[in-house]
Amino acid sequence: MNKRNIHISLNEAKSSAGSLKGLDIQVGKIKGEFWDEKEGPTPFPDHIDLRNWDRTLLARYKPLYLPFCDLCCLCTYGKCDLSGGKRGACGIGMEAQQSRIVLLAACIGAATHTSHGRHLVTHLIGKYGRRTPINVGGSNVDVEAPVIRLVCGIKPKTLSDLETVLDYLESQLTELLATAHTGQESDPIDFESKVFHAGMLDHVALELADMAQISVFDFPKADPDAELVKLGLGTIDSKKPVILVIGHNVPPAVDIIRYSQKHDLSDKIEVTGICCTAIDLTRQDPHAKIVGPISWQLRYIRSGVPDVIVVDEQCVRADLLIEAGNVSAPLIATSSKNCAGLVDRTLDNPDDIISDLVSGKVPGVLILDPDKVGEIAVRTAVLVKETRRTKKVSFIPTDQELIELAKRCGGCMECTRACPNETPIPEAMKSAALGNFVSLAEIYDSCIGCGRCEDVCNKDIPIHNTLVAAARKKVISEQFFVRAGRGAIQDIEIREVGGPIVLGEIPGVVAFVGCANFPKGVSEVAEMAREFAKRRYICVASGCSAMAIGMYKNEDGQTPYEEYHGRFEAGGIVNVGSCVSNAHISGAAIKIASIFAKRNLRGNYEEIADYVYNRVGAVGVAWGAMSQKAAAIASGFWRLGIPVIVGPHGAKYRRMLMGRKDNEEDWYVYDTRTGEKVYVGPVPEHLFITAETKEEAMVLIAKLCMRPNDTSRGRSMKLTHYIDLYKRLYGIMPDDIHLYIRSSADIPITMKEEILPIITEKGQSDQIIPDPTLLTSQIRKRNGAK
Amino acid sequence: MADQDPWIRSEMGGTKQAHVISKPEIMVAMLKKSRRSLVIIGNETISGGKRTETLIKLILKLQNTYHTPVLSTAHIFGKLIAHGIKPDANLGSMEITGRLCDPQWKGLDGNGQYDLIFVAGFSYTLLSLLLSGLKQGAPDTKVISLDPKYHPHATWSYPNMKPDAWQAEIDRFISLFSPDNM
Ligand code: SF4
Ligand code: SF4
Ligand code: SF4
Repeated sequence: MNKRNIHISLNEAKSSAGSLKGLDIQVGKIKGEFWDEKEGPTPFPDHIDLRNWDRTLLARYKPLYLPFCDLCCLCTYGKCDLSGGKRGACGIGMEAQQSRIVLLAACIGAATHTSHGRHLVTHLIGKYGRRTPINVGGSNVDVEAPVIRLVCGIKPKTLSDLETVLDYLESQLTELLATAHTGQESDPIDFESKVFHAGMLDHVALELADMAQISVFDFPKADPDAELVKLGLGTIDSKKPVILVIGHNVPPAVDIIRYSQKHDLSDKIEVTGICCTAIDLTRQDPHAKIVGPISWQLRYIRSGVPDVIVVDEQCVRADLLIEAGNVSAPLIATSSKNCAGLVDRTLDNPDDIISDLVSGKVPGVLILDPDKVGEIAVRTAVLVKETRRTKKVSFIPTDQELIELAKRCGGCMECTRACPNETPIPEAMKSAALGNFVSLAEIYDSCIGCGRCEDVCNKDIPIHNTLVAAARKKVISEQFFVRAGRGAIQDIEIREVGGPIVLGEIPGVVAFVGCANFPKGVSEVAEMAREFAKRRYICVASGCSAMAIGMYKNEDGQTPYEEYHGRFEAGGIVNVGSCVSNAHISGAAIKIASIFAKRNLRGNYEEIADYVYNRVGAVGVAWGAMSQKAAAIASGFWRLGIPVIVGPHGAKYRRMLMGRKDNEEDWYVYDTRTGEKVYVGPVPEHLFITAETKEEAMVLIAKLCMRPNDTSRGRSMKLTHYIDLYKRLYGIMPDDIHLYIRSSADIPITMKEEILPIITEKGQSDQIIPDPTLLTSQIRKRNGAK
Repeated sequence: MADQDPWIRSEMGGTKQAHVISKPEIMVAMLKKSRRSLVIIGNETISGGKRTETLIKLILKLQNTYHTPVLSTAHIFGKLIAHGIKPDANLGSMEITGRLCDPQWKGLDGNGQYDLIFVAGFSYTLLSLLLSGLKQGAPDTKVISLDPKYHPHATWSYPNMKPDAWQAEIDRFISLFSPDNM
């Protein structure tokens, strides 16, 4: 634990020997380095420091609450019925209660990343020392920590500096969590503002965690040409001993790689991964393989291929010990956050542990030392491979077995009623019973691998296994590439695209992020990313969405990562890395303000968020967002003024933040040059919204990239994409074009004939393009005075 | 398939559950009583098969007989035109839900809020949330779910029904349409 016994802070001291400015000393460390950038108003901000900014955004983007049920059941006064305007025993109303739930989700998410960051930093300091320098991209990345600079007002130089940041995050998150206690916060908008605060903290935690691991491990360092790595069940050589790692905290997986390298076993074993540990594993070793997103857990384990399963933390299935036991694969848990009921063997002799695992004496062990996990996982995999040869380890039925299983189906529909995607399993079973597996194989594509269907089947059909069996050919052909997570965006890349983005000439930055709770399978994310890369937007990706993009091939057999480059420029598909790498996306937006617009970042959150909101046409798409972490990540984007679109399951976050384009009075900004209020139209129209279909999402992406600062050339390009997509996907002209056309110069030339009559009918007058801000503090000239 | 079980069993509504539409006369009576009604149809309206055929037929009749405005969500506007329906407006499902929860909203035609909403053509979980949003945010608005799956958060909902039975119910509803019933 970081100790701060003495803390001396001097703003300015003068003596005959010279002068000192901004000195900040803590025993054992010097916080940050000398930094001549002027400190902004809110270094290490509390929620209150940014509350006005939040309320400004929330006045435009009002929450719409979608409760799961009428009740609150958070304390023993309850359950309380909050429906129809009723209040709970504590006095809370439904809106505040729902925003409280959103806050809890955001706090869980941010705490998870913070705790992940704390674990990483503590582990890496223990192994490499406090003074280990931060290095995310060498001389290519001067602004190494845009989020931390912006929020905390420090420039971290060593791993030790990150401890100061962690202290801040932990104290803030504790306070936020406390506000969700019964009888604390009562106002929904204040809850929402705290959600934003949790989100902002989350991005600090993300940046911190990824910086730490990039600095120490052999990850690509802001490399646009990071290697292509293999992805998919079909890429794995099951004849070798196979290790599967699942989760998000990569040190144990790194030590598996290192142990196998040291013992000359790299070519003799397969190290495979699911979820973000897989992404980070391949950043360390491009020869490791990614199986797929989180939804691939059951199908991969039940295929019998992995010989040893190593789990760390976050988004790991809670029934893995059972699943692993069914296929005689030992389970090694490696995180105190997920002990899985296993005995802690961290201090035991490795030979004893391996013997117990190989003989099956214990189904798994908890080992909290990554080095030791490396050794035990590799040695166990080699030995257990042999013992598993004599056992039944695959539960994927043969074709004949599949027919027999399908014949059991009584058509009760319970599986469909339990399936989050309402897949038509009973009908498919009917055909499968007759030997036709086409429909079942189609369900495989949209199946998120949850296993809920099996639990309700009163005929005990292992439904998920039947889907995998029916899709056998597809499974084998899952052989794709994804570009290894590159980490940060280089300063020079930002310098080159900053202008075109802010002026609107690169039509937008679209970030495909988040989990794999997709309504119709992985392919929709790839389709969206390709569409926007083709249109020369900058597409960025992370986590399971980055994998989903890779699981697609064009007519030439190329994956999107082969088809499109990995540079942060128009027409790229840029995989930044794992969940924690999402900070490089918000970081890129922040860096535009710093590197291109020369704004001070240091503790200057509000001004930079206002800059990003009004100028940087960026949109997040979390098509399969599932987790509380995804909620926190989205919240961090909102506070920075970046809209997020989620898929239909994202509605279960139970709150949207939407603008009203029909309320003209909501869409005024100040012109910083004059202080006058100027109507700029509903741009961006929403901050958080669920789209029903990928078509709707694509139209929303194009629309939500518009910003008040767009030049006419930029706006006309953005409108071209919006109108073109709308016409193609909706089959009609959009009915709101006039709201986005400020003067005839905004009208796309090729669409002039179509648009002019609409504008004439709606009666559009010329509007000026202001230097936009929502903040009175940014007005340079007021009432004619400087 | 008990009538009042939510189709996805975990989507229980809470203390106030939708009334089951036991006979179409109920809906006709509500239509008669309503000052301002609106039909909202989601992307699954055009998912094909019996569901599409049935919903298209119903919506056409509603439009023709009662001139009930129709709003489509998602991207289906053009496809509805191909089916002979010209919706009066298109908005995202969240956008229209938000507007219906705003007492100040002027409606699609500027004449004010709606008091009766028919919804159909959505995935179960999404509609469940939209209905819950309306139940809490627009408590005075009556919301009728026309999909063949029981939705506790609606004011009135069909029970869980097999496609043929549902189609027959919708046909019975349509058979009651007449200008006299306005
Ligand atoms: S927190 Fe309030 S509303 Fe919730 S159960 Fe307790 S008293 Fe009831
Ligand atoms: S495992 Fe697949 S098919 Fe079964 S309920 Fe989950 S998503 Fe549906
Ligand atoms: S739950 Fe089982 S028996 Fe019932 S329809 Fe589904 S597969 Fe068939």
